[in-house]
Amino acid sequence: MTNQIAESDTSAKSAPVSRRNFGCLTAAAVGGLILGSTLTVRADDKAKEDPANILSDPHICRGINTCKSKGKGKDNACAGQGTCATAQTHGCDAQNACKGQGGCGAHPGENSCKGLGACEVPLTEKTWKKARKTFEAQMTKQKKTFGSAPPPKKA
Amino acid sequence: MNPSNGLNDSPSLDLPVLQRWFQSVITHPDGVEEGVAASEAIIPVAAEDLERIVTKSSRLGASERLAVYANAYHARLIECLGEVFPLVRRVVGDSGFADFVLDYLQDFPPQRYTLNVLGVHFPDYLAKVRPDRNTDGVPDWADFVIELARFEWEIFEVFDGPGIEKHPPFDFRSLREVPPDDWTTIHLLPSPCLRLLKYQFPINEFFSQARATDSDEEVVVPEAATSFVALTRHDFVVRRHSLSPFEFTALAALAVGNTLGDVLELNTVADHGQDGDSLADTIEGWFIRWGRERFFTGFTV
Repeated sequence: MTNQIAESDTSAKSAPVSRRNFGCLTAAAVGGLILGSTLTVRADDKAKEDPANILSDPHICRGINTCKSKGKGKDNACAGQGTCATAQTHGCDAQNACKGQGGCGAHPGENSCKGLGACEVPLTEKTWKKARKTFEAQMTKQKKTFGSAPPPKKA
Repeated sequence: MNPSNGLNDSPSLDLPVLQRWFQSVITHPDGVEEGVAASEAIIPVAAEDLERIVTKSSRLGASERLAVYANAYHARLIECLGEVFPLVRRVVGDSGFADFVLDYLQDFPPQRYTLNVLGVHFPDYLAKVRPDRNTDGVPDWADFVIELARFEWEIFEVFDGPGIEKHPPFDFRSLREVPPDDWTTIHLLPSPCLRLLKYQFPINEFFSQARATDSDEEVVVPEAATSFVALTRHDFVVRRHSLSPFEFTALAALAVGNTLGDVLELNTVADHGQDGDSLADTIEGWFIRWGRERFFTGFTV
């Protein structure tokens, strides 16, 4: 649980609710919970029959997630980078499974740094200006209006 | 490497010393030359004498060969954080993102065997180095970048954190055994992967829209508008649910341990501007959804 929960506004004003109405709301809540969980239990049973069903809701899938069970905790399994895309986990781009290794990848060593140049560490202000430039280009291209850039952070 | 190269006037060049020096040089933010100078305490060697430690090749000198590793080291860390914060990278651009990361790594270099936690401070870092706000108090694009980074990190943590996959869905039909008079005293137990989040921008909608486009397609920063999101995880897939303000309030109150009765008292007809029947329908809809999405893993009375 995160702090956001604790910070959320749970102090809404309470207004009088009749006993009858309150009973209806309680029944609606309990009934809804029972119905919802029943749907899940049934879906879970169905999923056992057809594992591919777990991929039936792609719009809320992060895309890389279905590799978790194969990649989590196996920090040395660089070879796993390309092996996650099985029939059941085709939504995975496999990158997370190998994220922790550093030494793996298709272009290790010299190739991966050719285009990077020196590892300059710019001033933060310069970086934000660069980010702002990208933002303004995006907004302009989309014909969106935007306000002026905020002033640099004071030292 | 040339550990036995006749550096008789240097400290012992046994492998651990050499490794420490190598790490110190290639991870230096200002490049190899500065790295060599800053690593004098480990192996005192001038830049022009580098080839006494690292042999040159037919095409590259010692410094250039070390630079290969130095650049690759930083490139991989940028790549790693780019996977955790893909939309932040799209919004600020590849070059801007790389600059942010390089600066961030000076304060938070990787210090564990895994890079899983490398990005944990990145949203706070962005908040710390952001430009000053405009005086009008309206959330600006920097706020958006920071919120997006927080959201992507939340998703990453839910993805990688504790879940409910090993447990069968809790069957709330057992609630039927609770006498109706006791329903108001029910406490629902939140799923360990449930997170309730509030933002100044429609972050979840932006996230969905941006992910529906090609990764090289430009994205447009939305206008500020308060939004509420629940994150959870099913079958190792992170689920995102946009919430109404009232739904968020009710869910948050339940998640921190309030009873069903307390929460329903908060969600009154007056607060919703709905009549009793309509409010009952709304609440039923919420609980159906929460039950179906396994926001809760059980209850106590």
